[in-house]
Amino acid sequence: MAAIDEKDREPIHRLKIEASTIFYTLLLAVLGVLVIYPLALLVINSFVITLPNGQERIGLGNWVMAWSQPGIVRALVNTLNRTVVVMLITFPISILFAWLLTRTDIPGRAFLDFFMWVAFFLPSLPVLMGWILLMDPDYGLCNQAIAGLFGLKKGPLNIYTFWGVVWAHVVTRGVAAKYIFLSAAFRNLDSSLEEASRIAGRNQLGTLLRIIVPIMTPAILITLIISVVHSLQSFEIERVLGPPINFYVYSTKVYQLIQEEKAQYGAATVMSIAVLLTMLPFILWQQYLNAKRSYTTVTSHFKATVTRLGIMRWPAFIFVCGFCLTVTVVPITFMIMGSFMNLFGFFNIEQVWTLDHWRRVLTDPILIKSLLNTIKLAGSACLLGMLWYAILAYVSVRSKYRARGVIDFFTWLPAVVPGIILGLGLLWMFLGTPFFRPLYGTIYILIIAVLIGSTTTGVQLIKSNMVQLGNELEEASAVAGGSLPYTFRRIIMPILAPALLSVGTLTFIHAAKDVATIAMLVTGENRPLAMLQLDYMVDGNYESAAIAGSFIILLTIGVAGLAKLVGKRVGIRIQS
Amino acid sequence: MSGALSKPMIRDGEPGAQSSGKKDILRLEGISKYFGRTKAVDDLSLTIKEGEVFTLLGPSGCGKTTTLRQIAGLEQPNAGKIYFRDRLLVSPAENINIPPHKRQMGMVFQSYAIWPHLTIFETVAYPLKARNVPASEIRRRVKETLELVGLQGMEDRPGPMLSGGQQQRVAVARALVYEPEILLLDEPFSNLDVKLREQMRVELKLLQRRVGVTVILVTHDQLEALSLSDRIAVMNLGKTEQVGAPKELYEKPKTAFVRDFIGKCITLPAEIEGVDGGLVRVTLRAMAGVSWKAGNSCVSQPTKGQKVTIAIRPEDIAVNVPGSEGDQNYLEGEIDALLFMGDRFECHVKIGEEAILVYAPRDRQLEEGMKVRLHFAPEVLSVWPL
Repeated sequence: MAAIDEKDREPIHRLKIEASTIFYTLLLAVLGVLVIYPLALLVINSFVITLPNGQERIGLGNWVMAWSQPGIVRALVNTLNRTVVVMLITFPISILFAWLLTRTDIPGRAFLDFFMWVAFFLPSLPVLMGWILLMDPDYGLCNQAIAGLFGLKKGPLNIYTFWGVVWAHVVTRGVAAKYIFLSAAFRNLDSSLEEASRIAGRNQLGTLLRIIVPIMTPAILITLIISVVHSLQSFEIERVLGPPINFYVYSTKVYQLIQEEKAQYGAATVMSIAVLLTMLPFILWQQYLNAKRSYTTVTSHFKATVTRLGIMRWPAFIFVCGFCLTVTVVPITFMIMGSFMNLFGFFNIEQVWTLDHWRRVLTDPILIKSLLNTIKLAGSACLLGMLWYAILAYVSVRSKYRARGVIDFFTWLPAVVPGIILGLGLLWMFLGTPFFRPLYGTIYILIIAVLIGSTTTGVQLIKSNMVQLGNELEEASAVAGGSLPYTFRRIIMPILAPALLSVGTLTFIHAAKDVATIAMLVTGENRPLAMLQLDYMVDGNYESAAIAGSFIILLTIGVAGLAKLVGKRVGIRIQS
Repeated sequence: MSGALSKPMIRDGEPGAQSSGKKDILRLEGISKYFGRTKAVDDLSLTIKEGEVFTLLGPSGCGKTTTLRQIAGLEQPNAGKIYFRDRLLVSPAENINIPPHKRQMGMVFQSYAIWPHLTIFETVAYPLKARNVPASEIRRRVKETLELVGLQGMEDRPGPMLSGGQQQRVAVARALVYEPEILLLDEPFSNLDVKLREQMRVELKLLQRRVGVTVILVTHDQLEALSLSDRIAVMNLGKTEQVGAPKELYEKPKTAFVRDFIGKCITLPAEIEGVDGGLVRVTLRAMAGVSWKAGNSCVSQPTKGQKVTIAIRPEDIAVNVPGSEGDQNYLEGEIDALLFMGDRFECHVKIGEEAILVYAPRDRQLEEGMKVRLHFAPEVLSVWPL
């Protein structure tokens, strides 16, 4: 029998409880500094006016000036217009796709679903590149083909228009992201509800409209709100397509104001706050719906039968498959092709193909540095993210810490704050706080920004896995002699390994492709590939941009594939 | 069985037969636990003796699992003390709380809590690894413990690929491998089917005999409690109703709750007529005012005219016994429904407006609609205050 030492009778446990509370409070403080402080700085600074003699004063000057500034109101109206139009087009398509791929016998469901996921993960800049090559008014391949076919002088398509911007949204994540959210909900719908309607005498369309859509309304509403928030966050598409036609949305306007010779922090800040305020009702509504949790849930006798499409199977397949190719294979192929062309889009010159760009770029220290920056940035964000998000999720789900509700709120906030606004807040923080100033221009500032940006997804994913994990698995370890750190290392982390792996992969991909959050913080020294590609595109250097894009695609697909491979290995022992 | 495990396990005498001579191993003094504003455990005091199987029995929500979890250290009481021998485990008043991983107890959880990412060997080795036992000794002790629970040769199986019974064995092995002095079992059989439950019950009893570990069992299943325990504490609303040996609780319940919770019980309203030697004379108002004698009384001071309840177990009622016509304690009725249960009959006998449940041996010639005479022997009848 194990001997019981008298010295084991330690009255120090009270201290230990305090130690964990101190640790949790420290976490909360760090989270607060990272999430709340930048936003608070934005609000405060929007009321600080710099007088001509350099003195600072509190006042409404920035607000008054912002509204009288040309272009700001215009940009806000543009944002609204573009969001509404994109929603009207993508939402019905997404619902149709989600229904087709989850509830019907459309051929190749798994295959098509896979392509939607690829589309969801693809960075938008390379996709946009491909489509510029196809739809440029002068040399776009589609335009050349149409012109040749009908003997026109010039093709009809132009990506540098409002509708071009809308199209770019449709083919980047516009449909794919909504599909991902909706298909999960559709998959969990109990088919007996559907069958009852069929037996009661409704045809398929009637059942879809009168039974499925109404039942799914809460899930659809939540997806709609999330999509609106996402759509408001968009930055890079407008950054590339907008300036040539003087089309600005608020995010590109904010960026432009900061980039100007005499950076207009005041106006940019005021604009950011205005957008945040506009989003507030949507955010609260989403929280309300989420809290009500009135979605249909999976019952124990759940059954998912499929609706037979009959002869419509093949037209439906061709439609979905065509779309899948349009948003993945087609643009990426053309982007890669572009990197081998002497002059992007020109097929009638003497030497069409060349390796010169690759040769030049591969020896270009700028690209190599950016590539290294991206690897450092995404790699660190991935590793730190797994640990940081796991700790936050643990405190939120398992601990009895009193303020864990506040931690929940802080981890959820980054999802709704547009990247460009968060970036501006961080810029205020890093430049305005002496303690943080040395970090400006280093890779660390970008890592922090990316980590904040991915917080919500990361923590939510781990949380949902942790909730399913029985409390007793942990308690068994405690009773068996494992201290809390030992239990965390040997039980919690390994069991959560698959979830952690997905979180790591998501964080890596996000870090490798994100530009909105970091755009404000990037300098020549710490510029990652995605930002380099954007800069090349804005400068019209499409060949180099295509090469930078190829590297991003390679990195993200490579990491996703690697994760899947490792996941399979781990999965064998996890499966239960 | 190897020496290492068997040595400390054989204790003198048959465990539980006479626990009075044994030393106390665990002492709960005035434990109270609140969840929000509900009182889950209410000023509970218990003493558990070395080597016995002690059961906390009660309906769900009576605080039995909470009590067990406080012993394990998974919950902290709001007031009271728990001693392991002379070592104070927890005392909120003195800011003392030994965390679960330092309490040296073994525990089998209701869900078994088999870790999905570890093999059987790794699972059983876990408590030893957490205590930095050298690898060679870990191998030896895990092997011995797996033999003890009958899982030899299955070391490399992953946890989730086990049946319910195997999972339970792994959970028991994990709890016993570091030779704790106390084994805590939280509803250990509730996840098994009926057949397996009976088998595991026997196995557990045998294992406990061999290892000699003190077992604290939590269950809501009275059959489990009666068959496994040396002593049982019946709990209700966070307090103990009665503590005693199974037979004692069944035959001499001290409270109406224990009487109704353990086994089936027929109760009839009655009125005290007087005391006759050791017997209480009662009149059954509902049964046409027949007068009976009862041998057991839980009424402290019987007075004439006092309203009482008389109670009897259905298996103690005799049906149509020949040669007992002279007895006073009988009722006549008609079999309303007759259910053949395999090992016995369950008769629902209608007497006037009342229906009484009676168990009859299966060799009786009974049929529905038959007139029967039920005998209630004075020694199995008890009188309870209302």
